[in-house]
Parts: sequence; C-alpha cells; structure tokens
Amino acid sequence: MLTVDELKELKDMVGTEWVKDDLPTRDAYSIYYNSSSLNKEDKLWTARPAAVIMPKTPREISELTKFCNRKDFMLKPFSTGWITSCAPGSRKTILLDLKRMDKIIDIDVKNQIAVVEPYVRAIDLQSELWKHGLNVHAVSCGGNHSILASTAAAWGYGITGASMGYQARNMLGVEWVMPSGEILTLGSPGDGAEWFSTDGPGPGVRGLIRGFQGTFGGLGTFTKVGVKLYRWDSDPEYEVHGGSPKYILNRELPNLGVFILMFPGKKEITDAGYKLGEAECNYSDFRMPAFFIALGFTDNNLELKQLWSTGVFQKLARYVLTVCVHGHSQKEYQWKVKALKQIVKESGGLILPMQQIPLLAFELVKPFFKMFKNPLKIITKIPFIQEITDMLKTSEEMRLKLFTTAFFILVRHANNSQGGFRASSGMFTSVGAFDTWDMGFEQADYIAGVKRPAIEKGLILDDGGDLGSGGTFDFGHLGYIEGIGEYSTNDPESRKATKAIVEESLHGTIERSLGLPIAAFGGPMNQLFGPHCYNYHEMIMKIKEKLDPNSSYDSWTYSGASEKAFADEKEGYTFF
Amino acid sequence: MSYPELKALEGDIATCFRCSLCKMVPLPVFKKQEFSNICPINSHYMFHSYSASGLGYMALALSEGRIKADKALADIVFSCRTCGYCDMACNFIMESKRNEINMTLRETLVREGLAPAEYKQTIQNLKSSGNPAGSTRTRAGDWAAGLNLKKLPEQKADILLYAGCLTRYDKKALLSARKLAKLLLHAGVDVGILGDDENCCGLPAHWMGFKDDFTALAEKNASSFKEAQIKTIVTVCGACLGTLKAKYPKYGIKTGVEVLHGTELLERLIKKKKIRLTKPLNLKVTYHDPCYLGRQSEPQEEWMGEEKTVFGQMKYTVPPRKINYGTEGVFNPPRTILKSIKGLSFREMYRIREYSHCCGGGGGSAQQYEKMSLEAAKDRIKEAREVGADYLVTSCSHCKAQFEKASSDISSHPISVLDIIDIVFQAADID
Ligand SMILES: Cc1cc2nc3c(=O)[nH]c(=O)nc-3n(C[C@H](O)[C@H](O)[C@H](O)COP(=O)(O)OP(=O)(O)OC[C@H]3O[C@@H](n4cnc5c(N)ncnc54)[C@H](O)[C@@H]3O)c2cc1C
Ligand code: SF4
Ligand code: SF4
Repeated sequence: MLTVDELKELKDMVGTEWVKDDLPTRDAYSIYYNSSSLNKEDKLWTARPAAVIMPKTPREISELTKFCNRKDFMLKPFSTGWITSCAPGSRKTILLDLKRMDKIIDIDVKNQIAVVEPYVRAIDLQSELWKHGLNVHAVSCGGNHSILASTAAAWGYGITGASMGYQARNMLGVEWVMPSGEILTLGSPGDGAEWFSTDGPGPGVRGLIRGFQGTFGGLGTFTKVGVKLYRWDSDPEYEVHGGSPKYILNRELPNLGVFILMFPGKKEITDAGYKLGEAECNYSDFRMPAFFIALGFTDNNLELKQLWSTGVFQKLARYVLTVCVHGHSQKEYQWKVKALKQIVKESGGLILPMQQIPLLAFELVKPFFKMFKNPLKIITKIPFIQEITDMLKTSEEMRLKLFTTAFFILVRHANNSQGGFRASSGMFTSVGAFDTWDMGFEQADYIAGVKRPAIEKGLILDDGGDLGSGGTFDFGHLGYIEGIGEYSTNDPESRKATKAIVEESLHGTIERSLGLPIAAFGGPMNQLFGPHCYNYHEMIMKIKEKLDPNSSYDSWTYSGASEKAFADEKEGYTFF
Repeated sequence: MSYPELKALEGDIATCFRCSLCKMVPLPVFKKQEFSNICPINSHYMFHSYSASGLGYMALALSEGRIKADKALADIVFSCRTCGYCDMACNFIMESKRNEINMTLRETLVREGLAPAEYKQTIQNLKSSGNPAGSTRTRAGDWAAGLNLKKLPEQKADILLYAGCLTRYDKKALLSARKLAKLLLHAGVDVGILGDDENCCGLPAHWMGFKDDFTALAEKNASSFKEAQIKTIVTVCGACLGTLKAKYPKYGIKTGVEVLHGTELLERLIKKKKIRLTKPLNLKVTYHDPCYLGRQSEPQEEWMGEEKTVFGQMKYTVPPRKINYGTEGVFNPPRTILKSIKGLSFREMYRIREYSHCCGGGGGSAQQYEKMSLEAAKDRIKEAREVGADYLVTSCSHCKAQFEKASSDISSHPISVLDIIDIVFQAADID
C-alpha cells in the first residue's frame, strides 16, 4: 500500500533498518491479547498494518506525524504492545513500536519524580528506584508493562493504588508529539530538568490528553513522562533461591509484612477496606477471589481440581483481602500492624496464619463446611479465635514461601499474569469501574450472575462465578474490582460465549448504574456510555476534530474509527 | 500450500498473549534493566517478529495461508539462535510449546528449500565429511594422539569420552579435550574413545532445522554407542550433552546410555578425592551457562496419561504432565567445582542458570546474522565485566569460540575466556 517513494521517505526519517513493510513482520503485529474480539470471523487477526516503524526520538516521531498529516495514512503508537488497544484499526495504519525509546532519563530523588521514555517497564524503573528509597505505582498486569503507557495513555489501576492512587493522577509532566507534529511539553519533569509549563487557566490540557481512561494512542504520541514517586523504606534489592517457576526470597524484607484477611461477608470486607485506608496502613491490597486463592495453593490443575472440588474455598474464601503493610520505620510498621489487627477484629474478620494447608485438611473439614451456609460467620464468633489462630506454629520455610508469593504479587508485580493463565488459556474482563469500594462488590456479584448460564453450559471456566479482582485506591476513597472470567482461546464456542457475556454486562452496567467500565473507550463504547456520563463522547469527538483534523492518528480506540479507515473497518467491536 | 505440522500447533500458538516475557528475565529475578533482556534476536533487531511470540504469529499466518514461505520470512526465522529461553520463559506462565513452534517453522522452511546458503553448505559438509566445517587434513581421532586411550568398539571401556566435532577439529579446543582425558586417566576412570569413528552429534543439523539429516545422524550414533557397549557417555562440549541427552529422545531416538557432561563426572571425582584441586588459582571468574548444557539439556519426560477437562474449560492431566522449566540442566557441577578451587573468586552474572543469556553462537551461522550473533556475545562479556570478572569460564566449545571471537572485537572491555576443564586441570596440578 505504501508506494516506493513513500517508503523511501519514511526510511529517510528514521533509518532503513527501522522501517518494516514485509508481510511476515506486519502479520507479527496483527495479533494482540484477546484480539479475536476485534475480528468479525472470530480469528485472532486484526487489520494488517501498512508498516511498522521504530523511531528513536520525538523529532523523528514529529516527522512521521507530519507525513501522516500529508498522506492517506495514520499512526498508532505503543510502548510494549501488550494490550489489544495497540492494534491497528486500519490497513492504512502505520504502527509506531517505541521499543527503542527505553531510557530512564532522570530520577529526581528530592522531588520524587522520575522521567521515563515509553519502553521503560515498571520493573525497570522500580528496580532503580528502590536503590533511592523510592517506588512507583504499577498496574496489575505486571512489572512488564510500560510506565509511560499506564501514566499517560491508558487506564492505570494497580494493586499499589491503595497508597499510590490511580496512575493518571501520578502524571506530573509529559512530552507530547501532538497530532499536528508539534512537540508540546506540559507540567514539570522535576528539578533542573528541561521544562516547566503550567497548565491553564481554562480547561486543563492534562485532563484533555489523559482524561479518565486515556487516549490509547489515538491523539498523538507521548515521548516522555514525569511520574510521581512514593517512598520505599525497605531493602534496595533482594536475593532469591530456587528455580522457575518458584523463586523464593532468601529472607523477608524489613518494614514489610503481608497479611491474608478473611471476612464473613461483603459488609465486613468493605468496612475493613475503608478503615484500613483511613488508618493508611495498606501500602497495597488485593481482593483475591476464592478461585485464585485455590489456584495459588496448588502447583498444577489436577491439584486445583481436587482442592476446588472440596467446596471449602467457595465458602471460606469469598471475601479475602490480601494486604501489604509497609512502614517508613520499624516503629511505624509495628504501629500499622497493630492498627490492622484492631481493624480486622472490629470488622469481624480473621487474619489467616501464614500456613500452607494440605489437601487432606480440606477434605477433613469438608463435612463441617457443608453443614453451614457461611461457616466463617460462626468461626469468627468463637471467642479468642484470632488469638488461637495466631498461636498456630508456622515453619520459617513455609512463612517465607507464602511471604514470597504475596510479595511478588502485592509489591513486585512479578507473577501477576502467571496467576491468571494456568486454569484456562484466556482471561477476559468485563465490568469493573473505578468507583467506590462498595460498588466493586456490587459489580462482582452482577457479573457472576451474567456468567452463570455460560458456566452452566461449560462454555467458560466454572470459577464459582465471582472472579472479581481489585482493591482499594487512594486509601479507601475509591475502589476497583474487575469482573474477570476465564475462557478457552482455542474454542470458538467459548470465545462466542465470552463475547456475549461482555456485551450483556456492558448494557447491564448502564441499567444498574454500575459505573464506567474498563471497556468504555473507542467509538461504539463512547456512544454507549457517553449519554449516561455527561456526554463525554461529544467532547472527545470535538477534541479529536480540533487537534487532529487530518486524522494523522488512528483513533479507533479513542474517538472511534478514523475518517481515513476503509469502510469495512468502521464497524463496532466488543473488547475483552 | 498446507503445512500439517504447523496446523497441529495452531491452538498452542493462539495461547500466546503477547506479554513479551519471553524477551526478558523472569520478573522475580529481575535486577537491572541493562542486563534484563534475553532473546538475542529481539535485543538486536528489536521488532516483535524477532521473538518467540512473533515467530509463532508468523507460523500461524503461514499455516493459514496469509503469507507465503519466502525469503522475507526465512530471513527472520533463521536468525533465531534456538537458545530455548523463550520456551522456559513462557512455561513460567503456562504449559507452552514455544520451542516446538520455532523448530517446526524452521523445519518447514528448510523443506521449502529456504535455508540460508551457509546452512545448506554445513549440511553438505556433515554428509560428506562428518564435520560441519568441511573436510580437514586431520582425522576425527587425531585430537587424542599419544594419550593411549582405549579405542572403542574394538576395546571395551565403561565410559566413552565424546569429544564432539568443534572440539576435536579446533586446535585450541582439542587441548581441553586432552586435559579432560588426562584428568580421567589420572583418576583411574576406565575411559575410551571412538577415535576416527566418532561422528558429529548432529546438533548443527538440528538447530538449523534439517530434521531428517539430524535424525539420520542420531540413529547412526545411537547404533555405534550400542556397538561399543558402553554404559556412560561423557561429553567434553556442553552442546553435545544437550543434544544426546534431550534432543535425541525428543526426536524419538533412544541411546539407552547415561549421558554426562565432563563437569558432572569431574565433580564426582573431586568429591571422591580422586582428583584433588590443590593448586591455588588467583582468578576472578564468572561462569556462563551454555544453553544446551543448561536449560536445553533437560529432557522432556515421556508422558503417558490422560488429558481431561473439568469446570467447563479447565484442562488437567492425570498424572500431571511435567512442564519443562529448564531448571534441571547442568548448573551446579561447574559452580561447585569453581567454588572449590582455592584462591579463586567466583561471582555470578545477572542472567544465569535456566535464564542464562545465549552466547549468540547457536542456530547456525550465516554472514547476515554475524553482527547480531556477536552482539549477543559482547553483551554477555560486558555483563561478565560488570560483575568484576577477569575470566569468563564456560563449558561448551561453541560458546568458547564465540566469546573468543567477540572478545577480540572489543577494545574497551575484552575478557579472557576459559573452558572450565582448563581451570580444573590447572588446579589439579597434573601434567
Ligand atoms: C493481562 C492483562 C491485565 C491487565 N490488567 C490491567 C489492570 O489491572 N489495570 C490497568 O490499568 N490496566 C491493565 N491492563 C491494561 C494495560 O496493559 C495497562 O493499562 C498498561 O498500563 C499499559 O501498558 P502496556 O505496556 O500494556 O502499554 P501498551 O500495550 O504498549 O499500550 C497501551 C495503550 O496505550 C497506548 N500507548 C502506549 N504508549 C503510548 C505512547 N507512547 N503514546 C501514545 N499512546 C501510547 C497504546 O496505543 C495502547 O492503546 C492489563 C492488560 C493485560 C494484558
Ligand atoms: S510466547 Fe509466551 S512469554 Fe512470549 S509473549 Fe507469548 S505468552 Fe508471553
Ligand atoms: S530460541 Fe532464543 S533466540 Fe530464538 S526466539 Fe527463543 S529466545 Fe529468541
């Protein structure tokens, strides 16, 4: 599609080796996470990009942008290329893979700001920051995601959000190649760095380019971001032993503890969540659904089958919150642990011992659990139950093993995706809105109901229904629980059922006022949700029109299919 | 054009969710951005097509007829170093078949006649002279001249010392083989060689994707081992170890013999005090785990069980199928040996054991990949330097040759490369 002259022009901009238009490469860029949701024939393929380019500098991106202003092509930038919203929306789309832009430009320790390029992964930055006693918020997909993307371009919900907030709020400065090709700097990347630009008066540009969900590559390219940092008062590094897939920490880290809190009901877990936030003793937290807990207890699916079939987890572990407590000093840490214990007690919960329980034990208690609808309600009423539980001896080795698992999920974001993909080959997400902590559980209940018929037909994984995963944000001011499910990527019927669940849940979200879900982005979704949410879709269309009159950026994930797209590419989609 | 071998893998390809963890060290062991990337082709060419995930997607495109088997595809596919890291990395998340997908794609293109000319030449050489590098004036058994080793199968011995073709034809490498033989004789081991009858293990044919040539060679070797009536093979080169121990059974060839690497036997002999490491060596060393001695030498367990489905969509196997994490390679013996040498200061690099970084030397050498291949080795040398090592020790003739070549190309931080056998020989202080 690109002519020889056009290709030459592009190659002159970035260097020959960084422009690829061969078919195999373009096909290697035509599949993304769950991309079958975008394909009308239920295949994995998205539109095949016209070319893939790897620029190195904002100046090069500016040139490429100007090229698309002149020509009948569009750009779609991405950082790691993990999520489906990186996919080209058209055969006229030129992908910008920003992998060559991988520098941590600055860590301003005093002002707690780091400036990074697009391909700095969360774990790259976190590893450097720990040496300076600092930390950064990472989103729940894991440490291999791009910090710039989650800060400036897309979503931003993560487990450390309990204390570090929603990532959009952590964007302190940005360098932006606008759809016109101009390079704009906004905010500040810290002390003595290159720019300081105030925002306003009038409508905030930061809001305009970041908003609630992000622009998903549909409104220019972000080339640098200044991200707010938080304190880290534990070890700068750690050592492990063991081997894949079980690397175990050599020792627990100082000023850091992990706790598994169990509650008999929704009210108890939500109350505790708010109180923990109020006392600021949750550095990170994660509402772990029962099925995932069972998964974490096992090494393979046979064991998982046996454990889950006991039915104990379904009754005991419906409302579990795993919490990481972190203190700036040992004294503060101890105070926080004391507060946590008090809160759990007051809320009618129980702190589980760091103990791996053998399958046999579950088999033994099974009859008891069968007798009662909510055995935990009875257990938590037993006088001194917490004190008795605390007395259970745990071997050092076992403690370390469980500490490691929790640490890698709650703090290091190191085995998050590993957790999700063992039970079935694919994971989908449906509702899940950034709203109140209570609302999260309402959503989880709702989606469990929507999933039920497909579960009963065996079309998706029977995870008990409620696979709502998430946690509190901004110390309990907000909460987020995502309605996850697992399906088989290889089974067309399973894919079809998944699509139907997501579609139904999106409409149900509106009917039940369950908040703006994670899938609310891109043209059709904006049209669906906008009218119920201050007509935000109209504002997005206006912004796109004004800032990108020549459709230089592919906007299928932002304002809707681009003007330049072919007719067959302008249809809707269900994203999961 | 249909490709049934690829078709059969379509479901496995579809499980890739593009997380890119196959390009980097496992997250739990991550230490430093600079030494975190592992896939050598992705580090060099950067595009996603140059990664296990990209190769998988292109294999699917080929299988579905979206793209043709042509030079553009072959140029990418044959760049892969077949280091096997991606397989291990993906298995960290799920039970995957990344290695099998890579190899099947490559084998498909070989059948289509699309292998680089240099690869085809290597196969020709193997067929005509048994030496991938082509005929030489030396004969296969010359490396052992004057050592008075038993000649199998005419004579009998417990152990076959298998030099491997890169070792026996390379003037420097063969010295290591000679030293290992001397150490074994010194320790009283009943050891013999095949001499001029020793064949190439077939690894070059395997990693270049010439499946039929590989299996033919493997079968020939298996029958000569049988004829020699040996119980154990000890390899000098790490690459031969992985081939004989893991790749032969993977392709259905059973030798029925225990396969050990030199370091494994040396470790045992040192423990039994048959070899004493008495001489202190004041060296700062680090150790490079060769792919085929390390993760790639973990055999795939033959699994005879049942796959079942429960909870609608959850697959499980009875008994549970073992997943290859690459952790059962030969990792400890070299380290134990090095740590037992007096005066020697040992330090680990960042990318070690099952997540070791490839030297770049595997997968076949063609002019067009030389820069990438050497870059991988240079990156590794930089890492060795970073941890303060003056010597980069390894236990594979391919890796050693590759590092020597790369080091001579670096003026800023060259390094001395040693085979671990040379160090043991020195520390044992025998002639
Ligand atoms: C298994 C899984 C779980 C996830 N869980 C969560 C979660 O819990 N919370 C959450 O917030 N998100 C989640 N995500 C979504 C997403 O991956 C993250 O939001 C992440 O922060 C984005 O980083 P990335 O490396 O995936 O970026 P990419 O995949 O590279 O890009 C993400 C989006 O941002 C755009 N973009 C990237 N870089 C730029 C740039 N430089 N300029 C302009 N646009 C750009 C892309 O076009 C794309 O639309 C999940 C994704 C997966 C696959
Ligand atoms: S091959 Fe495996 S590790 Fe690599 S991107 Fe795909 S799922 Fe991730
Ligand atoms: S085998 Fe090695 S070089 Fe080839 S794709 Fe996998 S990690 Fe990369």
